[in-house]
Amino acid sequence: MKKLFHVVFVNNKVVNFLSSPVLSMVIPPIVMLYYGTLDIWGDDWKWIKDYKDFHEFVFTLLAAFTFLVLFIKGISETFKGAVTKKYEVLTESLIAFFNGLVKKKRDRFYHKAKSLKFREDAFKRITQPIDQLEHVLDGTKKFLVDGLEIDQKNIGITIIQGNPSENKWWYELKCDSQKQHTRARDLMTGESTAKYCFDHGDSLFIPDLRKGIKEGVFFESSRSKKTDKGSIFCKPVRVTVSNIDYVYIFTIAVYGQYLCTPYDEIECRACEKILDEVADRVELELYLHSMKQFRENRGNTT
Amino acid sequence: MRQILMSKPGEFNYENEGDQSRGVAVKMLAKVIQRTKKNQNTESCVVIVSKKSGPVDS
Repeated sequence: MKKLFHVVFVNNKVVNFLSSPVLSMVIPPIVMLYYGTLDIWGDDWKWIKDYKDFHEFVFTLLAAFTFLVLFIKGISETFKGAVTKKYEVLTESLIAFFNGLVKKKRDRFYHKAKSLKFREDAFKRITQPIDQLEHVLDGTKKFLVDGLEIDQKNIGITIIQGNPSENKWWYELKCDSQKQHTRARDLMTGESTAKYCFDHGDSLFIPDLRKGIKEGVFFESSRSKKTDKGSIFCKPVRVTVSNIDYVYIFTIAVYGQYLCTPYDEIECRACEKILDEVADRVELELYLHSMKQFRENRGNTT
Repeated sequence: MRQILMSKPGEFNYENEGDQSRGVAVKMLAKVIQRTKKNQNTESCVVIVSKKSGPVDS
C-alpha cells in the first residue's frame, strides 16, 4: 500500500503537474473570479443568465478540479516532506562520515608534526593506517545506523587479509571485535561472497542474502540462518607494493534487515553506489597499510 | 566491473515492502554522487546487474 502511495504521489508526472505551484496559484483565483462574476452579475449579464446550465456545469467542474489539485498537492507534499527529511539525514550522515575521516587524519598530522624529530621517519610517524581503518569501520557503522536506519546489532563489518599462495587468511580488522565471525579461512575456502569477490576481482552487492545462498555465493553462518534475511557488500582490494601483493576483502554484512529494497533495481544500484563510495575510503587506507606493512616486514605479507 | 546480484521478480516472498521514503532518498543521494563523478573515469562506474552468479562479459 505504501509503495502504491509513493508511486501515485511521489513518482508520478501527472501528480507532479497537478501539484505544481503554478496550478495551485492560478486555478483558485480563476474559480473565485468566476464565482464572483456569476454571483454579482449573474442576473444582469445576458451571456450568463441565458446559459445558466452551462455556467453551472463549468463552475462545478472548476470547483471540483480546484479541490482535487489542492487535495493532491497536500498529500504529495506530505510524502515529499518525508522523503526530503530522510534525504537530509542520509546526506548529513555521509558528510559527517567523510568529514570525520579528514578530521581524524588532520588532528593526527597536527599533533605528530609538532614533535617530529629532525632525522625521524615522517611517513612512519604520521601514517597510522590501522588507526585510520578502525575509524573508517566505526564511521561506516555509524553511517549505516544513522543514514540507512540499520540496527547496529545487525551490522558486521570486516576486513579479511590473506596470503593466497600459502592459503592463509585472517581478519585484519573487525568493526566489533567481540562479535563472533565465521573463520576467515572457512570463508575463503568455501562458497562465500568474499571468495567470489577475490576470485573475480570485482565488488559484489547482494541485496537479498537468499539469492546469494541460492547462487552459491554466500556462506551460511549460524547468524544468517537465524535471521533468514539480510544484505551483503564485498569489495576485494589487491595492492601491489614493489613485487609483493597484499590482498584484502572488505565486507559489510547486514542480518535481519535489508540495506535497500531487494526487488527495486534502481534502488539497489543507488545503494551499491553509496557503498562503493564508502569502500573507496577503505581502499585508500589499505594502500597505506600495505606500504607500511611492506616497510615494517621487509617484504613479507605475514 | 562492479556487480549486483539481484533476485528475479517473484523469486522470493517479501512480507515488508520496505521504507519507500528511504529508498527515494538513497536514489537521490546516489544521483548526486553520480553527477559529481561525471567528469571522472567512467570505466570504473560500470555496474552489472545480474540474476545469476558467475563471470560477467565486459
